[in-house]
Amino acid sequence: MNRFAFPRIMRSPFFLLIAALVLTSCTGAGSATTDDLRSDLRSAISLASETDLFISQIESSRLLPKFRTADADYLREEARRQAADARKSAGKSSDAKTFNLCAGQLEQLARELASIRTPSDKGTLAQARLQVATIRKTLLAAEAGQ
Amino acid sequence: MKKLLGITLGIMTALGGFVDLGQIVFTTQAGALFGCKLLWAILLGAVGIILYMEMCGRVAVVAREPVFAVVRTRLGDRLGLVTLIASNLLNLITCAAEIGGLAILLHLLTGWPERAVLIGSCLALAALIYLCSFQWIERTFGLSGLLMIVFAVSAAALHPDWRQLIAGLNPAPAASGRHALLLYAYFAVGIFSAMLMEYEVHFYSSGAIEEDWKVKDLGENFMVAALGSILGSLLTVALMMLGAILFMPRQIFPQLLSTAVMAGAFPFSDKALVIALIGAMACIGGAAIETALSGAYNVCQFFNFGWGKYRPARDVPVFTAGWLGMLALALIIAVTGVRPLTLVNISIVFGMVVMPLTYYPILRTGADRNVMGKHVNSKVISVLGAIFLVLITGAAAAAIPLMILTHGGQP
Repeated sequence: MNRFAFPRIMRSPFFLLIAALVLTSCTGAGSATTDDLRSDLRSAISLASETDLFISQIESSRLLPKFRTADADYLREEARRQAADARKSAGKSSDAKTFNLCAGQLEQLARELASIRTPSDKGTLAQARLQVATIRKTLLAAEAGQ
Repeated sequence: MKKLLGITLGIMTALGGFVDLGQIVFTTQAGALFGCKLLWAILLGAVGIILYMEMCGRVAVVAREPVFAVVRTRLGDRLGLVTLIASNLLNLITCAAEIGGLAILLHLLTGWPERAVLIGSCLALAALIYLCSFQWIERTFGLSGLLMIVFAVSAAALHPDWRQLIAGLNPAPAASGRHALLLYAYFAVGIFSAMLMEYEVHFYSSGAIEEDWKVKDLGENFMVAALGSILGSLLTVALMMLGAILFMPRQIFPQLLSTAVMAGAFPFSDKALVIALIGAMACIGGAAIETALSGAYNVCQFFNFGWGKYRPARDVPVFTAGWLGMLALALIIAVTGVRPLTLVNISIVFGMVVMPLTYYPILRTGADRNVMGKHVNSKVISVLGAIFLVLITGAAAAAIPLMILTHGGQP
């Protein structure tokens, strides 16, 4: 047996299929595609809607104070992470403007979440909810433009 | 009467311990994306887990052979060892995810710093395993997990569309477009895999030996496997319904555990949220213990070392070091800051890939009249078992390609 030959498992069709899929998925890693943009926008819209739902639960007094702070922080962290990803993609895409718009809206969302993480008056909550609705509308418009 | 009480307690424990982090997140996400159209995958998974669990329990009782002793005998040393390594890596990833999830829930409930909570809860789990008997561990977490019923009450209170739910039993793809179809297939495989997480079955099979079940207890084995899984599956359906009712119309794809748990108490007061948090903590904490113990069981059963919670820790040093090592390694992974939901995605996909390697030996042993005598698989179980072997193998082959093509299930 040729000791430099590939082991049998590496010559199996299943292994070759997996290897091909991994390589195919890696080739796109260098540039951000339209699909990536659509996926980023959908995630951002989802997060804005999640925030809206979260605020509605606070308004109905259905959340514990500790839960409210911790969940606002998790949502904010997620918004920041997605914004950073979108900014990174903007540098690798021909559609940098929309990626940057998405990142900007997510950063705005993170700021709104910071303003409601601790008990605040009803006016602050209503204001934040309005802002979140605007963010969502902007993102939906950007998605529709794709 | 005592027997009936034992069976009821067993069923309740199985129900409470049925759901874990993977099911909470994956099923809610599937509901958010496809409504109740993947209900058939839950049904399929429920039949699969009943079949697999009942066979494992029966083989453990009749042949006195736990899963990894069977794996070594049927697959041989080399392939058996590959299966052991793959299963334990899977247990480790799942354990890390569950510990991370537990820390998030504790942080949401108490506000204590997440990292301190992570380390503290891991130490508390280790102390519980060390100090409590198998039965106490199983029943404490299983019965506390019953608080998850608040998710089902919540789903019912939100007025679900029952006709749409029943329409979900039709497995015809309910999506159009290449990406949507791939996502549909990915979540179908994911739900099937999350229902069949093999650590639950290994834990159950080892438990049958830990609790010294006899042939006369085979009826109880069937009842616990069947009714516990059916009721647990109803809880899974409730998670999907919550995703469909709360998240789908709002275009939310829940990527945070907090959002999924909040859904469990959505129409009710903050007290219901506490119940949902504690219920989820019990399920996830129980799953962390089961994965750690499963890792130790697997190694000891494969290499024929002494094992068992019923024996003093000093008498079974490899077993004790095994579960301690699993918890310690899982903690290290969780402390690095990897997102528990990312780990759960990986564990669900790779769980499906490994599944045929443990399912097949159990199916063969269950069908072996020389080993099982009159308790050999019935014709119905043999046919169903063969059908599920094909399904599991197909899902195992599709799992990784689907994960790559959908970028880990991203809509």
